[in-house]
Amino acid sequence: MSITKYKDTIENGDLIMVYISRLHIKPIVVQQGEVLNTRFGSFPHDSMIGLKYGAQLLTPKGKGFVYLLHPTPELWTVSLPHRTQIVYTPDSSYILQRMNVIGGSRVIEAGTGSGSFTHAFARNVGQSGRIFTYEFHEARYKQAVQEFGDHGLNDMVVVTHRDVCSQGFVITQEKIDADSVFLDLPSPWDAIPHLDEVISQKRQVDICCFSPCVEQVMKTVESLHENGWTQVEMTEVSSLVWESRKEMIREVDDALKRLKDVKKRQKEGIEKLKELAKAKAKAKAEMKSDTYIKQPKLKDRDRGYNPFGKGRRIAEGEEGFDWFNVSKTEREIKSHTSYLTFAVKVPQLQL
Amino acid sequence: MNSSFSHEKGIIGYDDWAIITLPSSATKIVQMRKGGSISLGKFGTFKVDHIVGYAYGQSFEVLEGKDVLPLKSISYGLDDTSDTKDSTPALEFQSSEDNRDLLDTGSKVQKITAKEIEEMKKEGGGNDVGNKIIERIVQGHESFEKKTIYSQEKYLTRKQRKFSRRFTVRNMTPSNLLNHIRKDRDPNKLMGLSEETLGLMMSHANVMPGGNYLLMDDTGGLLVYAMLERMQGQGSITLIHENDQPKLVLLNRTNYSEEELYNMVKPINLLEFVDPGDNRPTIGPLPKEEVDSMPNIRRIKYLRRMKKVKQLNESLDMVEARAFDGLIYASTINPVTFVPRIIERMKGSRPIVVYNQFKEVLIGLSHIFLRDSRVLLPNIYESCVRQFQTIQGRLHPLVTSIGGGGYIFSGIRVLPIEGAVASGRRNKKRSCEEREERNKKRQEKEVAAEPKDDTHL
Repeated sequence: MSITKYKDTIENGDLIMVYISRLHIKPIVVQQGEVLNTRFGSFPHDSMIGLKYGAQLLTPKGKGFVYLLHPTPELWTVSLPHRTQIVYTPDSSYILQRMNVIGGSRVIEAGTGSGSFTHAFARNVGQSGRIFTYEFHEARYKQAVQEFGDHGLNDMVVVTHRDVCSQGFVITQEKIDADSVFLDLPSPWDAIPHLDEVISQKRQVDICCFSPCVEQVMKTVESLHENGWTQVEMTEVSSLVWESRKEMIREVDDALKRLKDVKKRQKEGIEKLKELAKAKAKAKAEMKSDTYIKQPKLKDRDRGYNPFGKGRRIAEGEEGFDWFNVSKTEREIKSHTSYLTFAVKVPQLQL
Repeated sequence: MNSSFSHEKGIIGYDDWAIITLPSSATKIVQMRKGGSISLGKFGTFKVDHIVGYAYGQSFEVLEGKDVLPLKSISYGLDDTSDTKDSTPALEFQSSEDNRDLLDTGSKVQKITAKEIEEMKKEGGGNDVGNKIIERIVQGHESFEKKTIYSQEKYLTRKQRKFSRRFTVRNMTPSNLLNHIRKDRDPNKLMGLSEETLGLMMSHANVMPGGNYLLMDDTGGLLVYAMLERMQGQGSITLIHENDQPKLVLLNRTNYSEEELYNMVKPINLLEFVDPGDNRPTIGPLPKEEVDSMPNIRRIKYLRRMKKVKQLNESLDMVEARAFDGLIYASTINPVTFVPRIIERMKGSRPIVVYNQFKEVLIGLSHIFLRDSRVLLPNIYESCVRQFQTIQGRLHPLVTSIGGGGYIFSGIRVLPIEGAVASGRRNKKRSCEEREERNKKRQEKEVAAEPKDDTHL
């Protein structure tokens, strides 16, 4: 119930985000008598009530644990049940910043999709603002209505089941008067001509069209020009997540020193082998063929000067070695989400 | 809602701070003083009274006598081909299929001299002059018609950026202010921060009305401004700074009053933050009779001082109560040693966002938090926006853009139970042995060598 307002203590009926692992965060509504089952054990909801947000919760047996997190639009984005491709935080945060979506803004969003961006819009516009969101897929619409209700967004979000491309944006219950428009539609150019009826006539209106293909962008740009939008600009957000790592500092002088050591020990080894051969030959001559000469095991072998821990499993950052602090991207990176086409419409006031 | 929040500023009003964009796409900060004039250098001068009352975002052409003509856009009738009304008429000329006949003869090709242009500029004040100059330049260009239509358009756009007397008035939004400093002033004043990184910080830090945030801001107040805009007069920003006074020069260019800033932004210096108990203000309050009997000037000074004391005490209370809903850290003070101390003052399940121009600084911090169970999801993020030219049929990324937009470290402060052990998939016996071995080694090391500062980069 608190995605748009912080609270300190978990109560019955709260939406919380359960951190199970780095890649698994599960949204649940806390309900007396219920139990959350995870691969780290079972957690009765009753044991969550009264705890502080952010608390670590152990299973009753004290073996496994989870963390109980406060919901935020960004956590919801990574944990929500996907119904469509969603707008991720690098894109959504840039759109919110660039269109200046702040407390009191009036936003049009089409379509609603999985409702992920709607949460971020709602957080930004607050109690004094409004989101008008449209979804033409009935099942998705119903699910969105349910979720916005559960998450306490009903005060600021108006969901409409409609295809805006053919039927426009006008609703009977309220004058929309939008100052920001976000279109995540396959053919935004069909929706753009309907916007004039519902956007503010008194202030600048910002639009952002979210399209994965260049062909869509071209048609969108044309439509924006034809419908009186100006300052048309297309952008693309590329984002990366960096992991911090440690890379061993291996100095050439150490490597040289080790090579010298190896060479020296090889020489000694040859001497030893010669002696061994001699001993064997002697034993053979004396017909004592059962003499057993113990060879050291490979694993326990003395490696002499060993600055880089060769032959041992070295944990990254292990003490006793020198390390560079470095970083690398994840193995698979998101290289394209969508193009963002921005434009503005300024009412030509007559003074 | 308070009317001075910029959200209500749809219309250009007196005393507003605003940003003006010129045809060259350079920007300028101005204030709308009643009866005043604003000079745009070679792009002309206009009276503030003529633009007040129009919507923000409106473009104008400068006319004779400091007057203006409202335009649909700054490129209206030039490359904006929508229905042209009465502004600049488009030039007519012939063009070539390709550039096979075009020879590069340098400046010889232009018959108009710089001196002639200067004289033309002196003739009149309106946009007509700009157009006349461009027309003469095209006429004086010997091989203009040997250029392709694309090349001609580019040439004209270049000349228009130089000579057309137009401008757009923009709202003083945090993004517009940031881009003005980043593109036309010095990006280093903002520690290299880009608009997309600012947006990412605001979202990761979950900045919203009613939150009580901790902030270190070495950008001159841009972050304070961006947060204030999102908080809409509800909640507070406790601003940790390292001097006697916080440096918030940019806030003087915004439309916030001193009173609004007092209510929302609570400065506290490092010493007070780190040691709240020992740094309580010791002045006053004095008995009422004594205050009443003070001379006027002294009383005003006293009351102003007490106001600050009250504000500081409120901040110290919050520090002691560990009552913060988020940390935003954009300081050149090494976060590796300071952030782990600050987060003790935060509530559970609240975001930590640390900005730095250099990833290397954040890597150090990330390493610390990978081994610190007080922070979940420690990651370093980078976001970079690529802009495209969107002329029909000639879509391509811009050839140059401003590099470097910084990085953020982000994580969530949580409240771990002392001594809790993870039950993982690992073989318990093995991990037990490993732990024993590690402990044994560590003890040996501690005896052998003096403790090493692993917080160092």
